[in-house]
Amino acid sequence: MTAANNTLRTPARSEPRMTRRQRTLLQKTAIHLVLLAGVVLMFIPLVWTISTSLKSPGEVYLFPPTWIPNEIMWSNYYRAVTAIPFFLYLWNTVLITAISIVGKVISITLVAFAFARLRWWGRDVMFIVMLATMMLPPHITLIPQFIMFKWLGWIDTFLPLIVPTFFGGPYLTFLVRQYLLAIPRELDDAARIDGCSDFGLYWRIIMPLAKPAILIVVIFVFNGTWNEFLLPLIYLHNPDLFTLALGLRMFQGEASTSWNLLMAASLLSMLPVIILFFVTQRHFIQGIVFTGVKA
Amino acid sequence: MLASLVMAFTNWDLITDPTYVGAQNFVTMFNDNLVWKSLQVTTTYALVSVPLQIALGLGLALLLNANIRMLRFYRTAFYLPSVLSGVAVALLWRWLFSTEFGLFNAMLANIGIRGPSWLGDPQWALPSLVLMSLWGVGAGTIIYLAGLQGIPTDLYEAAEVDGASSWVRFWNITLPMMTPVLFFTLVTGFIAALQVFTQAFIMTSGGPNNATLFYLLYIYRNAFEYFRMGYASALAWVLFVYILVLTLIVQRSSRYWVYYEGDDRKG
Amino acid sequence: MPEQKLSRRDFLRNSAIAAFVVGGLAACAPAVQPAPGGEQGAAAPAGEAVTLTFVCDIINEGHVKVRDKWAQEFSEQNPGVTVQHQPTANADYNTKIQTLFAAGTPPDIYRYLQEITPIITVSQKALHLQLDDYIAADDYDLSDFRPDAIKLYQWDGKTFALPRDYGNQNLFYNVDIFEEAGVEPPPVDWEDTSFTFEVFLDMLQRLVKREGDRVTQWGFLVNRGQRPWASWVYSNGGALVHKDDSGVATDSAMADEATVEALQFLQDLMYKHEVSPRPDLESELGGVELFSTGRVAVMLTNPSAVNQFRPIEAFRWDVGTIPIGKAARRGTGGGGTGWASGAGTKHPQEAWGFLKHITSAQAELDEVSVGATTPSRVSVVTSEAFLDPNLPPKNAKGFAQAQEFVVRDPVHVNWPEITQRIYSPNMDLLWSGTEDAATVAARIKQESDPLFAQS
Repeated sequence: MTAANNTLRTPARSEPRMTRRQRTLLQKTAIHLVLLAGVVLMFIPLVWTISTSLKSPGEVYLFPPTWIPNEIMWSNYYRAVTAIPFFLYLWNTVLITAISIVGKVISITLVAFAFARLRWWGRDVMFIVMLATMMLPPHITLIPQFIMFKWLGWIDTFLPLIVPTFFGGPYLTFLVRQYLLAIPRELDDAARIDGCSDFGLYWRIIMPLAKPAILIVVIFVFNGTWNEFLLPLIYLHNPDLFTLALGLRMFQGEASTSWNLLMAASLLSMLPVIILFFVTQRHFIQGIVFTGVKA
Repeated sequence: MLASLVMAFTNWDLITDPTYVGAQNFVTMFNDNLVWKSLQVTTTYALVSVPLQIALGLGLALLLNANIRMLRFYRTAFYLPSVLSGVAVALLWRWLFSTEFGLFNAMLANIGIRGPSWLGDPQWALPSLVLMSLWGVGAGTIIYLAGLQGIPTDLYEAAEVDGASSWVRFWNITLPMMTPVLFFTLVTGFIAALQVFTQAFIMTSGGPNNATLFYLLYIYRNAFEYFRMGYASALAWVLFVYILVLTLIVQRSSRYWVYYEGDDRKG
Repeated sequence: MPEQKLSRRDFLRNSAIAAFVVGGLAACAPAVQPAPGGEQGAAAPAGEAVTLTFVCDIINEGHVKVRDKWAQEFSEQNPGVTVQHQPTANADYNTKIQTLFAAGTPPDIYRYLQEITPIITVSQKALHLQLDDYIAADDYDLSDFRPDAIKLYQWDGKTFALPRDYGNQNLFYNVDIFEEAGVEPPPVDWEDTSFTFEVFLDMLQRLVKREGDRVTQWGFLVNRGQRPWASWVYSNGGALVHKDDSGVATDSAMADEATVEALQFLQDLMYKHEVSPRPDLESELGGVELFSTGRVAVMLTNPSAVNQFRPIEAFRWDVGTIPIGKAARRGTGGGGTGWASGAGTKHPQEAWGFLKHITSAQAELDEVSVGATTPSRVSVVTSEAFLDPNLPPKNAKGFAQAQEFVVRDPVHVNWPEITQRIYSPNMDLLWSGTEDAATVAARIKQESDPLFAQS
């Protein structure tokens, strides 16, 4: 027996003639029906987006709406990527995301390593300080940061978006530290006997073992950076530097929105995330389970 | 952080020099009805959307845990939408909610209901955003599913021997064993809900009639539209204190409802 | 002002003296403003590359192309000067402009919207390059511009921007739908008094098509932008604010009977007569799509929509005057926008050169060629190019006539805040049918009067 069966009232009392096997079968069918209905509900928005993205402007405003466009306009995708400099924005987004991933992975693993594997004066106090900052909304520092970057003359460059990533992030650092704690201490001792420095220990022993945790960091940072809107909105003004999130806004004019093109561009901008999701699905799920259950 | 605290006591538009105004910003805030409005909007959203997400996520997880086939398919299908976020998703939902041409109202029209002006009606705008938040329910489901699979089966076997009904088993075994995980998602869910920005900015601009004026949007406006940097910093600090207090309350209450099995599950 | 009393001839006769005098007046103007004088672009020192940022919002594709062209032209005519056109998403434009000013990097040239930054604020905070000396030094002829358009950008006798367009609100209507329904279309003449609110309502009721209780073709789209809805208020004899002698707003006029009546008329179109769709994101954004796909027969918007309507092949369309209510004379919200240069620009001489370039008659004709605007120059608004009968709308002369009926936005330091925090949120309740016009208007007046009292 599993917990889920409990949520469905067993029909046993009302229909005593059913065998246990029949009952289980019925239950399973019911569960499948509910789940399938859920899946349909979850996918309706995406299917509708795809449908809209392939419609002619006239059909977008047709009532009753059509699911399969009368005339499938593949050209919408071409127009969507030419109406705005899509590939330039894609490149900017890729660049910012890639550097952010590198920055976060380096800084987070180093700090987590120091917290988990090294002994130093004030370590535990610092760890508590870091835990406290997890509660802090990142946006509280938005304003002083903006002013600082303004002084540095970094407005309208990628620097305000990528430099802070080299200072880590408390939440993921905490997760990686938890992961590193689980690696047996004997390894450290053995390495030190072999003459490994702290950095050698980090680079040659711990990092290779921490690959699953690093992958989780990569996935989280990728997803977060790819979708980030507020920071580019504040810091990037030259359209040549825009990210996809900002570029999508260009489809909304003063008096009009081309919904078919906008939906096409939106889908294209989500595609990398969807691809990454399918490629690294197992790690994605591991990651979120790790954060939720083990943390 | 400290800079932000200092700034909270100034009046600064970035163009002219800052001036020290003492606690003036906090007094202004107290009399600013939009501060209260945005706190109310944000809190209502958190109090409605987070429990709904948890209940729905847990329900789905229970169904998925029923030793069924196609588990991987379902898991992927439910999880995928929660991976998507940001501007594209906000725009997508904005289009779904369109009054005359959106999908929802078209479907309602099929069954003879004249759907509301989802994002145009002050009464419906916030519920619309709550509805949208349920699209991301899959993330919670995955966590709960892992939690459920971690519950020792011998507990259920023992209960079955005692003749406990399925409801009793859920109430007395499943739920208590899941409380640490629920606690975690409750806290992180609240913190995330209190920091909603993109949806409000893209979909409704805080309207209609400030019905979706989320707190962070109001901070943003003060900082980057009205350029009241000092005031915005003060607002940010109030949000911090608010989150802290809320978390402490949940933390305190957790003593009464979070069950820690042995020693190995320190939340 | 002393600057204006300096005679033009002094500058021309002896630019060295002029430079000295103006230099002495630097306290009145942003510190970095150098002495004006010299030919367009000539001030760029040889060999030193100058880049001007030219920041505009994307109204539609036509505008972007025209502005790219200007940037290229100017760069070619002035070796060493590069104009970098930065088109910005319309929705993010105001934020962007304000951020640029706050970051200390104001655009060298940008599209100035007085409803976002009131001209009083521009003057008080010295946000823009003051243009009077440059105008005087170059003897730049402003007489072709509509005088009211020039006045929009002046405060305390100083000029802070030049007019781009001088727009207004007009009814755009689908000629085919009118013919099919056998309904007489709206008149062209803004002096016509027979086209009243009642006639308009009757017209709409005959244009609406229903299937069961669902409307498949709407009569009129209520545009919820402030200038559009204010036009109904003005044409009914109402106003948004009461003004003092200098034109500055003193208190809200929303609770005036004529204002309330016009607002109630708009709400009734949606909820009582059901000839207009309920508020939606489409109508919020102007509803151009609804009109161009034939879903709505009439809409009220500004002439920049011409650019988007010209490609329509499915039906013919034209423009007409807004109906008249109880007012003696129609009014239309408008005033258009200006071109300005941020104070503190490192290259004021080149920026001024570019300002002249984009406010020239040729530049306005460029915008006309893509149907982008109602020109602010009389010579252009009455030109054959603008009134070309072969290009829709046939009644383009209505745009020109409507310029006589423009009512400018309220003038007050707090106006952006008042409109964002009080006027528009409360108007949402009118649009959603939550409250009637009298209730909404009374609350707007009550909440906004204290802010009008500050100055």
